[in-house]
Amino acid sequence: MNALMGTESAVGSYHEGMPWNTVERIILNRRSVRSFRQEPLPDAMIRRILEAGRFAPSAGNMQPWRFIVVKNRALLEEMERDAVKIVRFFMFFLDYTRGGFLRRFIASINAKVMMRVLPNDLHPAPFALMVQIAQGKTPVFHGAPTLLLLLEDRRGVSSPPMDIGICGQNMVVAAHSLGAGTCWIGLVKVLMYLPKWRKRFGVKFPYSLNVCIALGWPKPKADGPATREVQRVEWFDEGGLDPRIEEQGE
Amino acid sequence: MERTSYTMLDRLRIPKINNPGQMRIARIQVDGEKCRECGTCVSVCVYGCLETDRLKKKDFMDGTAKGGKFGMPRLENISRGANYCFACNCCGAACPHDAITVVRNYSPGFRFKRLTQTGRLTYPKPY
Repeated sequence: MNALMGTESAVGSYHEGMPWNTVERIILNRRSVRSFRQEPLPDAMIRRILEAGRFAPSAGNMQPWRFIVVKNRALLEEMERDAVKIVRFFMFFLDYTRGGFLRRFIASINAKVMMRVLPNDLHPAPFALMVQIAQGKTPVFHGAPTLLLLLEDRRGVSSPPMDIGICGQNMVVAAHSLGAGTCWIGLVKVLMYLPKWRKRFGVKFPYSLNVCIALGWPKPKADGPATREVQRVEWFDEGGLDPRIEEQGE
Repeated sequence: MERTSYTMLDRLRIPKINNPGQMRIARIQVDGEKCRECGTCVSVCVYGCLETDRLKKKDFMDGTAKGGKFGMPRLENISRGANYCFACNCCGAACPHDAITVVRNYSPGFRFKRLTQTGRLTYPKPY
């Protein structure tokens, strides 16, 4: 933590054990912001953030993305209401943490089948989030004044979702360097179960909507250093053909 | 250093999110001397699983939480000591008084076991 305070290195040079430079500091201190002020970012600032996305690298320079900026407050509230409604509908069948014995039993069978069908969408982490949303304990879009929808062109080169990730992360880091707060929200895809929202955002072939970024001024100052797990990294060195396992971050 | 085992049986089994026997449940520690009970951590919690005696995230969503001391935060107990915290450390980063530390990471069991992350948590290290 102390490493993220104090002196700063110049950008563009490296020596071992030097303090973090400005860019690294923005990246390492970036935390997802889930509590926003009411007033949205100025339009010029949103355009500036989008510019970081426009110049992101992509496979074959095909830029398989389409951006939609949603600022209309009534529309945002409607999105929130509908997303909660859909999550509630699914959790009626899948939530095995509440209710009587019979309900829990049937729901746990449903959940185990569905978790095998949709292992990524119903991973325990988003599953727990949806359980909480269905009980009204946490919102979907965190009351963000601006949503940046990232639509993916499925005809893109190689792996379009990866290009979307690169593009979005560019914008997120740019936004944090300007003092704004952002949060990646994947649950926007539940809205795609309703034809109404597909039609409104024009999500049809070749586009698909999987992720959005909430943008706004953070209400409490959210950025700061955090701890993360020590990571096992395999190094194939000059020494031999067996990898040497290193503990990154220890 | 040994790898985390991941067998075919692991791959087939689905853990229950409210069963601490099947999941590695995250834990946070609140420093009682540093905490000023301002409620910032509750307002930024992802899952709304942090709460105090007088405050839940719902109160921030409705706008009913106003000033004052809210009490020490703790993780909401779901069942048998399980909670929905997944150790993102957003509360710790947002805390103005550095009172919160995550002492144990989150790892779902069986099919969703995390394989290359070890259990120790560290701050960024300038190599």
